Amino acid sequence: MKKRDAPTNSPRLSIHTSEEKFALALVTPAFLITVLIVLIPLLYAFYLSFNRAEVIVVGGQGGLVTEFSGLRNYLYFLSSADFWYSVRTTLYFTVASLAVELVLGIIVALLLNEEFRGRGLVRTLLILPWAVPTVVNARMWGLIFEPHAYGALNGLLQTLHLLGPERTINYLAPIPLFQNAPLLGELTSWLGVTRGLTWIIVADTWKTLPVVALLLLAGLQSIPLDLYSAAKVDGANAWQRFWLITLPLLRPIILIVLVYRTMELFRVFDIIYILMAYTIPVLGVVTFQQSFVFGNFGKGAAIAFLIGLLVLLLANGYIRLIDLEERE
Amino acid sequence: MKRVLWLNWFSLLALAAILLSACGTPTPTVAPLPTEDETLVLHALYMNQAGYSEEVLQEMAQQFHADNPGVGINFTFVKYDELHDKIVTSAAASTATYDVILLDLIWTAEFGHKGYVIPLDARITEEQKADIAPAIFDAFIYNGQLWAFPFLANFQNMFYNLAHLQAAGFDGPPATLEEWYAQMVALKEQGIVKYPYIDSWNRKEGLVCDYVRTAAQFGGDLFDENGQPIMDQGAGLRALQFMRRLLDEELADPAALTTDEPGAMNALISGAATFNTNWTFVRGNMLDPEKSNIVAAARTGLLPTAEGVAAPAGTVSGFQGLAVMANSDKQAAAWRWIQFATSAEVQQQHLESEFPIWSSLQNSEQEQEINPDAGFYATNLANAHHRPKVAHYPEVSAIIQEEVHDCLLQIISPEEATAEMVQRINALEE
Amino acid sequence: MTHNRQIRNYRKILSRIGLYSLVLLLLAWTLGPFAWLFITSISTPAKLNQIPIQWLPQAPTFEHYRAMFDPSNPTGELFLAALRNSITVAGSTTLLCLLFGVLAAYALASFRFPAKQGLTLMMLATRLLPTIALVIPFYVIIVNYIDPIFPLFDTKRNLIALYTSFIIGLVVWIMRGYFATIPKELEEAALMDGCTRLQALFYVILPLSLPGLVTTALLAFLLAWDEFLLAMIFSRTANAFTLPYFVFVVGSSQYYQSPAAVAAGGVLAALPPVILAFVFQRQLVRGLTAGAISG
Repeated sequence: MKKRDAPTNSPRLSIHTSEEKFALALVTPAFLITVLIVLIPLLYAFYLSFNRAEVIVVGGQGGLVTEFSGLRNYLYFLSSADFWYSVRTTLYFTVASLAVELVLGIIVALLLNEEFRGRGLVRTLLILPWAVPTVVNARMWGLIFEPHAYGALNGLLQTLHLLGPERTINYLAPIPLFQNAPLLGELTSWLGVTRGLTWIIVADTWKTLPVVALLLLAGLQSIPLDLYSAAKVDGANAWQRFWLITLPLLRPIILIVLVYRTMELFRVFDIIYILMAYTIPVLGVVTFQQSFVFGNFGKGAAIAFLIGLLVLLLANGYIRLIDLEERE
Repeated sequence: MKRVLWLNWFSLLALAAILLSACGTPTPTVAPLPTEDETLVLHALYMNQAGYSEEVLQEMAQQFHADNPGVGINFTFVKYDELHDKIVTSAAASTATYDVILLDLIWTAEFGHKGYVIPLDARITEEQKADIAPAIFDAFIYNGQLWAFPFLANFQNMFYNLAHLQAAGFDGPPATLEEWYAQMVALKEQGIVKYPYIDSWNRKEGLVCDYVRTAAQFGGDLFDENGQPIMDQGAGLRALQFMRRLLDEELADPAALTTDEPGAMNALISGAATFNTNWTFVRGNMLDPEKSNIVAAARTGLLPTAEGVAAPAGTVSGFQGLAVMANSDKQAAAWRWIQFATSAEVQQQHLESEFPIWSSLQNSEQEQEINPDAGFYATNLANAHHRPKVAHYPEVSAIIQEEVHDCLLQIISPEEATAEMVQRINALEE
Repeated sequence: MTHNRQIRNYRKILSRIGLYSLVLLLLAWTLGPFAWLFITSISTPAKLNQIPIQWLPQAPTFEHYRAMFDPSNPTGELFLAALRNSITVAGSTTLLCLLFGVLAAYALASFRFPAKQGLTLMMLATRLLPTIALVIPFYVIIVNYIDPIFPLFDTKRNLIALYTSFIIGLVVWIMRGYFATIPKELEEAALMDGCTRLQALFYVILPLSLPGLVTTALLAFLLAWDEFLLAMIFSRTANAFTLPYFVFVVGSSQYYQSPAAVAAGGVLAALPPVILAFVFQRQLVRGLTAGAISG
């Protein structure tokens, strides 16, 4: 079966001007939608990022007063300790979320790959968190993390006797983890590794774990079973089979999950803004604050481009990784 | 397989039912202001709150419409946290997206300075001026001009659980800040409550309010008359030390650090805390048996000051005003609505839920009858301190929030926090 | 001999017990939070403030649900408007994305023409941009330059246009991958029989790609249903409020908090996508896998 994407020598599908025109006609609407709605504003934002752009009303007319300021907006952030703290915090959120999602995702995928009663139903139910809208997810965990004894998680831990009847945990408090441990405490403060953000990672993972697990499960199902039986014959135990067969064969799909999740995690805004307003300064939240709270649209645009740049850098790193993989 | 199929059909039916319920509903019936013959529609930006709730305002709009048939009002109700941002975006449009906005007193300088709202001096009368306490009016004056008309006199009060106090052997609320502290220690030692005090110390504007209020209880302010930060000395420093101490000694609930105002109120009315310093909205809730577990024991009181401070109470103002956007093309109608919505006649209808701005109403017999705590309210209000009136207040506030919060999280000391506040706020001036 | 078998039996039983406990744990983790959301939605404020925690409400109340469907109170009015808006916006976005996305995907999969590679990459790149990077220019351009001529602020068509521009790239990407798997001989046969290109697409290729279409449509719908930031910035009245924005504002303010209302709004906003996901679970998973693998 010929794949359509492969270059073809068939005369019907070769380059004819009429076909070219037809193809361009088909692409044009989608192309215009993207160009008009995304590219033009993007260029405008790029222009703004080199200006001091403040919201001011003059003579009954509102709008932006812009004044060219060169690289000042960019330099402002690049030389600001707060900005680099935000970068580290965002990286912590991204990397920790990825790690948790992948490890749990593999465990869940392995579990769902086993035979058991009701497996179909469990697989169906598993998708529920993924379908729950982000805003609903944020507000739901806000209720669960209520810091008093009447909050759900505190109540649960007390019911299970994991917490004393008088003890409660303030989950969302942005306290550096291991705050009082000598060196570790300083490291976590520097990295922005706080208790609040860590619990937000839990909340976010609840929503995203199903997709990751189901993608990995699809990967597992594509591994030929005779590989396992052959390994068994050779005397490999379950652990060895996992390391020698499952994981290497899952690698491509793991890389894809990594790319796709990194893009989403690094630009996180909704869940943190909804739960904590401006308390946890991940880059998305700082952009919003600069623009719509402080009214500095130029600085807001500059930091947005810095985020885009960082995402590109990360993506580039992954693409190299995948290339390397394919060349091997 | 069959079961799954059946499940699918059932779910699809349920989905169809939900979707149809939305499409099948007749057009909303609330405030059906006629839109065909209308000459103009005002867009008004308010926030969700208890007293002047959406229902109440819709009703008000209908009354207004009866007198001004040519004007309809379209309300947008947002969270407080969103209010400022919506006003900034409205100013960024060539023609304002909102004509009337609710202005929190802290934005007076910013909006006046950047020209977002119009000055109202030429539009107000001498009688109006005479019947509103200068302390309230003052909050909306910047550069000698009035930028919003007072609408709601909000301020913090002490709310407490008398049953807890009596169980600890006290007959009443504390008269001084030191006594307040002693009561908290006693409540904790006797095991009556785990944390005697709850407040809303999450990293939002409310934290600045609580810091200003505590400084007021120590008889001082965070900024001097020229708007220069001075919280690294005197009342500002002592206030932060006091707040931190309450957490260090576990007298204040550490949950306060992620709690907003309604959340703090919940801890009080659930019976988990004895004291809550909070805005006027608490009173109605703590006396409502549907919400409160402490109806019989709930009391309102003065916010005690430290020994040696002459004032009988110290609190923070949270006045709200109504303002007209400078890039609105319906300014005359907008002002007409503001006059109506803030009038004594209208406020008189809502004494049950909100403390009026008009002195004549505050002291009326009707108010005393409706709110037996009006005396405490009046004393607290008379001793309200304002947050600083500076044009770049959002940035200033963000700095105070961050430093105070870090201090209360036990990351930095009160001395470090206040010193950094002064240094960072001074560095803001470009 | 029997001894060994017994040990093996025990082991088997133990591993089954382990397996089933893990499955139960997974179910508790997956369903627990949503169950608590539902319980909260039918609880009274006094019950929610009880210490120690009370798991099930003694007297469940459905007043918040009733309020949401009652157009005579402001919450209900807003909710019903938001529901209608969400359906319109997500539905129209899906249709537009499919219509234009499928045409583009077909062209990109079947033809060779100049700048094809560049176009594909550019469409995909729109998915990589953080929404927050575009909110600022979107807002300034729309309220200052477009609104005076053609009102967009606080309208559904504005949200539909913005969402379409974000989501169409994904639709093109997935459908392109899908079309590539359809044997070209089928299309060639159709052309031989005298079909035009478009007829071949509509009568031969699309019917064969139906599962892919369903998945893509679903993904587009769910993405549009989920969007929050643009809805928050660009809506002012019930004209354009969508459900995520409604859930963000409902039941909470500086001086007012109703966890039960938040929860009821949350449950209702989550139901349509949850039901869709349950019904089309198989296709969704397949589509996600296809989308990921072709990527």
